[in-house]
Amino acid sequence: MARKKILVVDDSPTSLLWQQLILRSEPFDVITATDGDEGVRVAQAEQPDLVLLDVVMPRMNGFDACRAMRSDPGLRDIPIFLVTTRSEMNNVTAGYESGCTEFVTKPIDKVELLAKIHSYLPGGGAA
Amino acid sequence: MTAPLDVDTPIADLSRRLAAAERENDELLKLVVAARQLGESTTTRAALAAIRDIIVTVIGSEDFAIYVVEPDGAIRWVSGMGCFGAVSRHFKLEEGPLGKAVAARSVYVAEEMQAGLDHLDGWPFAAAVPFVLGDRLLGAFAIFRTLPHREPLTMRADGEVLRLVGVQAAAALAIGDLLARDTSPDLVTA
Repeated sequence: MARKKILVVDDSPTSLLWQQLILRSEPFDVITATDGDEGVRVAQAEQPDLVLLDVVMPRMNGFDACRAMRSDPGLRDIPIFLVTTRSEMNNVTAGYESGCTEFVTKPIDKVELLAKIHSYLPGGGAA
Repeated sequence: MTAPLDVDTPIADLSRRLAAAERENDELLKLVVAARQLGESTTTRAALAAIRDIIVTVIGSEDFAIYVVEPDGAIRWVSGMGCFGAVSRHFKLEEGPLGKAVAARSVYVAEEMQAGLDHLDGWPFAAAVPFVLGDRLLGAFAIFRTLPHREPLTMRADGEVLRLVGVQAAAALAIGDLLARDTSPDLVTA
C-alpha cells in the first residue's frame, strides 16, 4: 500500500518544522508550501491525501486557498484541515464556509492532530 | 484455591506510562523545534523573527513583547504583538514584576493570573523570560496573555521550554550582534 501524502501549507518556519516532525514520526510523506498561492499549485500538482492549511498567510490566506482547492475537481474531496491560533466562533464559521473539513488550533497538540488525521486516513500510511 | 489473576492493573499501568511518555514526547518536540529555529538564526533580525514565531507557535501567545536591556538598566521595547505587546513601552531593571524577573535572570510565571493577582502597572502579565548568556543580560520577552484556548502558563508545564528559549535566544542575539559588527571578508565568506 502506498504511503499517504500530506501537504503542509504555512508561512511560519517554526510551525512547518513542528508539523513535519509530528508527521514524520508516522509513515507519511510530507510536502510543504509557504503561502496559500503556492499551496494551491502544489496541491494541484501533487494531489495529496490530506492538506494542513494555515489561516493567516501572505499573498493568499488559508480561507481563500481552501476555496480555491475546493473549486478544483481533483481536490474537491480531499480532507483539508485549517490550522489557526484563533478558536473564536466567527473564525470557525468562516473556515467551514470556505470548505474546510476540520479545525486544528495552535499550539498544535501532536496526539490530537494525529488522531484527527487517522480518522480521515484510516490505515495511516503504512506500506 | 488460587488467587484470582489481576490483568487490569498492569494494563492500566501501561496506559498511564504510555500517556506520560506521549506528554514527554510533546515537550521534547517543543524543545527541539525552539532550539533548532534559534540555532539557525545568524542575524539579529532572524533571531527576533524566530523568537516571535516560537512565542506564537510553540508557547501559544499573540500578546507579547521583546525587549533589550540597555547599559543604563533600561528595558527597551524592540518588537511585539497584540494590544499590550505591540505598545512601545519601557521599563527599568528591578522595578515591577518584569524588571525584577529580568534582574533576577530567571524565568517568572505569574501562576496567579487566573485570579487576576498579577499585573504590570495595570496590564495583564503572564510571564517574563530573560535572555541570559553567561554573565550577560541581553534582553527579555514578556507574555501579557496566552491564546484563549490554551491552558494558563505554569512553571511545571512550561518552565523548561521558557528557560530554553531564554538561553537560545540570548545566544542567537549575541551571534547576530557579533556578525553584524565584524565585517571582515574572511568571516563573511566563510
